[in-house]
Amino acid sequence: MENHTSNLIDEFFESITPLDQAKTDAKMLIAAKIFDAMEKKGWKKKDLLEAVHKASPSIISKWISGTHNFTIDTMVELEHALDIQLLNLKSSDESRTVTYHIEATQRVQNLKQMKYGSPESVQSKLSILNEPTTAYAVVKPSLSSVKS
Amino acid sequence: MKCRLVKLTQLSGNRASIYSIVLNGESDTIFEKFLRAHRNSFKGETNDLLMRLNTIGTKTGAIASFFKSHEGKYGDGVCALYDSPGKKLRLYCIRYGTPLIIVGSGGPKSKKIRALQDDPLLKEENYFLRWLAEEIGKRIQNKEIEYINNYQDFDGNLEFVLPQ
Repeated sequence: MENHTSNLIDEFFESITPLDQAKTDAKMLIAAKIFDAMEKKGWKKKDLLEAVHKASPSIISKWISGTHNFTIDTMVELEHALDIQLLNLKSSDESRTVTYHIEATQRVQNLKQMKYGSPESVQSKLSILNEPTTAYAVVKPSLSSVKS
Repeated sequence: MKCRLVKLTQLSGNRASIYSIVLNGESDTIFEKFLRAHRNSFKGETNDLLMRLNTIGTKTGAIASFFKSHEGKYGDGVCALYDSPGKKLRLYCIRYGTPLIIVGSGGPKSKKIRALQDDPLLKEENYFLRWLAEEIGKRIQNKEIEYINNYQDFDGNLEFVLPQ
């Protein structure tokens, strides 16, 4: 296949702001999520139409076209109808636990309970192990701890 | 007159490859010629189409619902990329599933036009893609063209001779 690079396309991208691109990305990703959820449920447009109690079939085509600017009400209705998440509304001060599965390539000799380590310090501590093992890291926003 | 398929590297990404067509020995693809022709009168629309193709290539793939289907013969894949609501700049494409599309050309579709055949420019651009889709289909059947890279690219004889 022959690759083609265009100066004209570069010019266009120079005039497109990251914000405008992000808005387009968001509309299309939401549409993709809705379309994917419909396919997984085996739903046609009329099924979604019925689930959200709308009358006009053309609205479904608009929603999944990737061009639609959704209202919050519509997004909530779609979340309920399709059992998907379109809005991420978790409070920013809710604590979040992230679990990492780390596979070390060296033997564990001196097991240690390490607390309040940053990911970088965890990595440097695991590097002293001498045998294949598995370490689990539980990281919380306010503190880091490693259990091995 | 000859034409060949080329891959638009700036728009193609992990989710889809975006191809277009170069006629004879021209330097621009027909998609670039479409952008040049309409960039002044339809600045917002051309920007929007380009952003959508970028998203298709890099984030979503060419999902069926992004395209207005049945713009060609039954099953040939010729479609039109939906533009923003209320806008009437039509861009014809050939869609080969989520991983690969060929973008052609198109033009303004005014509200007075009920069918593309009523507009000479739209008809010409659309019918060219119908012909190309048929030719590609034949070559896929006789293995002159094959899909590679997880159906994301074409490989083989990608040069065509237009009918007189």
